[in-house]
Amino acid sequence: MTVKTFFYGLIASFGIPWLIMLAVPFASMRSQEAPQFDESKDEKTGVFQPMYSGRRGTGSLIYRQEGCAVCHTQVTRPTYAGNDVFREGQGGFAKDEVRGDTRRISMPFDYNGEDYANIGESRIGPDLGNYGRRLEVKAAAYNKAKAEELGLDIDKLGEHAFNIELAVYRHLFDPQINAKKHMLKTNCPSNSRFFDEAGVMGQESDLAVAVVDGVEVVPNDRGRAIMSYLINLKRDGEVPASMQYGRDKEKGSK
Amino acid sequence: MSTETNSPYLEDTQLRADIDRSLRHPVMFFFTSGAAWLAVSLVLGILFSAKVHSPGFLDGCSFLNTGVLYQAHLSTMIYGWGAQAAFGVIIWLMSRLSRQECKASGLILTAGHVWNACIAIGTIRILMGEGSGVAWMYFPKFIWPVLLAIYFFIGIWAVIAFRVRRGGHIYISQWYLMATLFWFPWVFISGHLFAIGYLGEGHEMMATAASAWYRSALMFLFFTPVAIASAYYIAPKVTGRPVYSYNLALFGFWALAIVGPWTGFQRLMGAPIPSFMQFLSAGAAILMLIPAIAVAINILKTASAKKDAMAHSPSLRFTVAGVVGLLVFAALGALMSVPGVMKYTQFSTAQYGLEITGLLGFFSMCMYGAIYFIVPRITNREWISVGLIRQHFWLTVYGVLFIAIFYTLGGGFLHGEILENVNESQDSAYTRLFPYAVSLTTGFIFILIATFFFCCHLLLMWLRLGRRSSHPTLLVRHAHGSPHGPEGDLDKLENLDSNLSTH
Repeated sequence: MTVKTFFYGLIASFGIPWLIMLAVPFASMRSQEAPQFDESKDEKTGVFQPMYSGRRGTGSLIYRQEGCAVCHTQVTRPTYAGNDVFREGQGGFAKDEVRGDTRRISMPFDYNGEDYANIGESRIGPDLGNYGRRLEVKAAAYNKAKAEELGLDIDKLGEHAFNIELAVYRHLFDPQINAKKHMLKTNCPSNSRFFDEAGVMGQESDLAVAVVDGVEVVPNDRGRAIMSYLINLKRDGEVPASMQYGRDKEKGSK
Repeated sequence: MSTETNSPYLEDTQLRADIDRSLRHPVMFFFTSGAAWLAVSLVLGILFSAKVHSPGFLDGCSFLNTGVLYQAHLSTMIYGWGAQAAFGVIIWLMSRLSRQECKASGLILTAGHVWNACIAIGTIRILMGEGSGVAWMYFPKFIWPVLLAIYFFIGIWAVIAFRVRRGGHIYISQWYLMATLFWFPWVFISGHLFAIGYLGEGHEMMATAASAWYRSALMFLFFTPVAIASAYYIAPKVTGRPVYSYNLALFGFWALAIVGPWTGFQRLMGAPIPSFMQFLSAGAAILMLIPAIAVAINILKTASAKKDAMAHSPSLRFTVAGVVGLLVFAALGALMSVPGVMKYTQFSTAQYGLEITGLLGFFSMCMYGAIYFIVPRITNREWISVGLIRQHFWLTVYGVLFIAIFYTLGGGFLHGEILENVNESQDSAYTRLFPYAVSLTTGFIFILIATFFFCCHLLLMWLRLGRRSSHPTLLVRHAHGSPHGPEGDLDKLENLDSNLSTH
């Protein structure tokens, strides 16, 4: 083997997979066409446009920088790769009170607005792909029970209503307290770096997670961004039928 | 008459001594600072795993967040220890095999200092929550171009040594070294361009895919070839026997070159990337068994030609353990790439355990073997303590076995099984994970103690406090003879030299 043959061999053996597996898919996914609604299945036509809210770009970056993806995934795999779609709330709910069966696997557009899809390393903690929607469902159940307990309309619960933002902040500040309150175990550590201490000036902040001796612990900029990102992680929007597990299943059984 | 027969041998020994002397400081710097970074990485790893099983641990230190500890731990292991150990081995091996003194040791040493400064800055920034957050590229964006430039400063001298090599023959180790010198920049540049977003607007899912490919390519096309090159050098050198089969070596090399670049995307099985990428990569990861088996047969057959050398020589013992580590790493990697198995292992403890098994059980063991061989030659001193070497070996083996058996295999499947069971709560998954996380901490503690012994030993050698002896330090009491051959007798050579010049 001459040195020249050696290098030609190296270029070919590396260059071909590099092109096929990396460069070409990178270019083709960059210019991916938006999915379309199909009138026969979706009863509507047009381009599917995913809707997002919250501080998605900044929140996603902070999520990555803080290593949240080490313990949390954000992916619902198809059945050939796992049972994710059957885990209640992970890729949607089988019986979502508002939208019916919303279960579906993850799609490329789920990560739009981020620089990098936070698929995640492991599931030391729960999957967070649909965390925002799970919180909404939990809040609705809590508010319903509270309204019955207090004999009020849900809309008039006021300060008794479940505060999603505060719940997330409390979890980030000290997940152990939160878990103990609900008789649960968690291995989520405290993320106190998302909070600053500030002297109480007049009324306490609505978002204070702790107040001790005139000093309150309130979320800082990074804390607010990560909270906004987390509560907006939802997989409950309307998608074309071809992308939805439940509706595909119905079609298959007919 | 005797001068005629001795002259080529003396010239040869003198040349090797000159090469060793020319590389003393850069190579010792890479090895010692690399070992120190490994110790730092293991401390960070212990903190990380302790926080997994005891979440309240060090809660008061807000900068020691679980996620950033993990990122800093892996970054220091890969770029602090792994890359520097590889650089030391690459420049020394290439100079020795090409029979060329290094003319730029000062430049390489300076580059090494800058590399270390970058690792330190990058690690601090990660701990401050200012890294990139991209897998295996956790340092902030501005660090990467500097690291690449430093790599060129270091790597170019190995390429030059190869270009102006003496003698026409190209050794097996040189193929691997040249291949890794060629692959590394390509892998590094593509990984960073695609994953970190230097190319501007890309697709976020492909950025993740590129980082999955990058970590696999770095493992198989950088760490693996350097470790194999070292094994192909150490085994025949220590045993004094030629490599068992040249053809098998050639086959193993091309199998790695052909299969290696296709792996990586299996980590994203089920994620929204084209499914052909996931399955092709899974297939390639299974096929990685082929080069691993080819290399293992060749090295183990070569080493077993002289069994006492395997028992007595620290270099050979570490190298053989590293080759066994390669087999284990490839077998676990293949098993975990079977789609049916991946359901359980993809997001369990298995994947991280596999990476640690590869980095510490295979790559690091081969590097230790090379370091135990190289350091006495470049410092002109023998290792001080057999006990320290023995402790280093056994504690590392215990630590790696703990991680491979309990955390990677046991935890991987049993934690994965509960994650796959939709009727089980997150609570049960945490309870199931607990003992395996403890086993990771235990494994890391074993390896940290071993690394502490190794660092101290290495530092003493760099300070030239090693034994002035013509016999290498062997893992046996009252050893007679030297499995390393006459190459270790540099003191004797100096005496001979002075005798010749006086006559």
